[in-house]
Amino acid sequence: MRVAVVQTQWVDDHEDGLRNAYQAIEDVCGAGDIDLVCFPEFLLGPPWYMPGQDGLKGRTDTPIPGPIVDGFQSLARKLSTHILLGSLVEDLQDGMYRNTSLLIGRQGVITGRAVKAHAFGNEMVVCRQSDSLGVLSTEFGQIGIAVCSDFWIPEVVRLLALAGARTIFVPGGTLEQNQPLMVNALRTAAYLNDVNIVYASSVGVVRGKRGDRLVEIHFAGTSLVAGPQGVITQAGSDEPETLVVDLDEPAHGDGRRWQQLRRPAAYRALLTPYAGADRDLAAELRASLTGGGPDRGRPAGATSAHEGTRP
Amino acid sequence: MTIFVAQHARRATPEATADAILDDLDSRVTDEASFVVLPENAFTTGDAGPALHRPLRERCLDRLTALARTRGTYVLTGSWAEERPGGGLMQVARLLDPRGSECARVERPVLPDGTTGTGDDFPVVETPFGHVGVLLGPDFWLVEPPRIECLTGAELLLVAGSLDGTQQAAQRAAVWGIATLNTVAVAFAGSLNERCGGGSAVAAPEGFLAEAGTDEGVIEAPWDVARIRHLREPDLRFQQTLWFGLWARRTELYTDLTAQVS
Repeated sequence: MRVAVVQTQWVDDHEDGLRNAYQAIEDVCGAGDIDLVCFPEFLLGPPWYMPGQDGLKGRTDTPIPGPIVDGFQSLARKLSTHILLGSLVEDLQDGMYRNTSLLIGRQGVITGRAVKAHAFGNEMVVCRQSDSLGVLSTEFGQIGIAVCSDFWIPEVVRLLALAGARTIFVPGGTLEQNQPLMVNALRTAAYLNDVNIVYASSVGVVRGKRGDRLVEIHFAGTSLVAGPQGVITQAGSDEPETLVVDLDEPAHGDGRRWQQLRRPAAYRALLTPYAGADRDLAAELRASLTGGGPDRGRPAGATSAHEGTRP
Repeated sequence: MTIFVAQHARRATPEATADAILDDLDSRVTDEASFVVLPENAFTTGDAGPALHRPLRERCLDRLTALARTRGTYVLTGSWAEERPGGGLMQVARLLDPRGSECARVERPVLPDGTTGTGDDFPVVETPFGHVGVLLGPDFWLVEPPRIECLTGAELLLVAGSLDGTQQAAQRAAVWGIATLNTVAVAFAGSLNERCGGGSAVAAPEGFLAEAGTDEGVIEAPWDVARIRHLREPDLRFQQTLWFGLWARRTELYTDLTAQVS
C-alpha cells in the first residue's frame, strides 16, 4: 500500500483549508500512484468548540453527507485513490456533533467511518462519542482508525490489533509540549502490538480568549509512519508537508509473541475506572462553557491569565 | 530519594554472577535509596538454566535482605527459578521492604523453552515513596499488566525484566513508551548475555532519566512521586494532557480484552 500522509496547516478560513487539502491530494496523486491519502484530525482547521474559536460555529460544522464530503468523493473517484478524511466536525443537525473520520474508497463511496470514542476537552459536552471500536475491511486488509485522543488510551490500539488490524491510522494533532514523547509513544504502540501506525498531524496555532484568559495552543506536526521496528518516516514540526511511504503488513515480530502470552481472563481490571479518577470533568467543562462556574483546571496556577502551550 | 537498577553480564557460574552483582550493589547503593531493582533470572548463567540451588538462593536472599535493612530501601530481588513440590519450575521475584520482610511476590511458570510465562496477579504495594507495581518477565511487554497496575494506582513500576526481543532498539525505546502511555515511572532491570541486550533504565513519562544501554553496572536516577501525581492531575487548559489516558477511559468498550481472541 502506498500511503500519503498530508500534514496540513491550520488557516483562519476553512475554505482555504479545504482548497489546500484538495491541492495536496492532486499534487501527491499527480506525482505517482497513491493508494491512500491520510489527513489529520480537523483537516479543515480548528473546530468551533476549541478555546477561543466560537466564531467558527456554523462554518466548520459539516453535515455528512454534504457538499464538503461530496467534493472529496469526486476527487477520490477522479484520482482512483482512497482518502481518509482524518476528521470533520460532523453536524448532527440536532445541536450535537461528532468528531468523525471517513474513509472514502477509490470509487468515491464512503467505505468506513470512525467516530472519536474518547472525547477531549469541550468534546465531552458537545460531541457524541462512538459506542464501538471496530476494524474496517479494505483491499489492503483489515485496518483500524483511532481518532486523535483515542490513541492515548492504550486499550484502543490493542483492541484494533487483536481484531486483526495490521495498520492503524491515527488522525491527530501533536501538541508542541508533547512532541518527543508523542513520537516515541506512537513507535511503542506499533512495537507492542505488532502493527504499523500511520499518524497524521497538523501545524498551526489556536489563539483566542476564554473568559479572561488568553488561549494559545501550538501544534507541532511530526506526522509519521512507524512499524514495529521503529519510525519509517517523519515530517518536520512546523510546516505543511506530505510524506509518501510504501507500507507492507509487518512481519511476525515480538508483539505477536507477547500477544500469544496473553491471559485475557486475568484482565478484568481493565473494565474498571482508574482508581484516582475522582472528578466529573464533563460537569466542570459544562459549567465553564455556560459560565456557570470557574474552569477549575489544575488547582495550581489556575488563576493564570494565560493558558496554552507556551508561557 | 533515588532508584538504583542493576545490570550485569553473567559470569561462568551463578555464584560468580551473584558475587559480582551483590558486591557492586553493596558498594554503589547509598542511604538515599528508595528502591533497588534486579533483573529477571538475576543470577543464572543463561535463560534456560535449572533452578538456582538452595544454598546460593538463600545466600543471595540474605545479602539482599541485609541491603534493604542497612540502606532502608525496598529491594526487588530480581528472579530466579525454584522447583515446586509437584515438579516444574517457577520464576520467583520478591519485593523486600526496608525491614527486610517480603511485602510482595510474583511467581511465573518457566515454560518448556526456558523462558518465563505470564500470570494473572499484578500486585501494587503502598510504600512511603508512593504506590509501586511489581512486574516479572514478559508481563511487562504485554499491554495489559502494566496498564492494570497503573489503573489500580501504581505510580512506579518495578520490573525484573529482560530485553530479549528480536527488535531490541524498539524494545529499549518501549520502556519509555510504556511509561508515557500509562503516565507512570518505570524502573526496568535487564541483564546482559548473548540473548539479553541490557536496556536497564529508569523512565518517566517525558523521557528517560537514566539508561544503562549495554554497559555493565548500577545506574541511578532520582525518584519523586510528586511529579507523577502532578502529571495525573487533570488540566483542562491543554498545558498537561497525559492525565487523559487514565481518566477518559470508557470501560464498556474494552470487554473484548478479557475474552479469548483467536
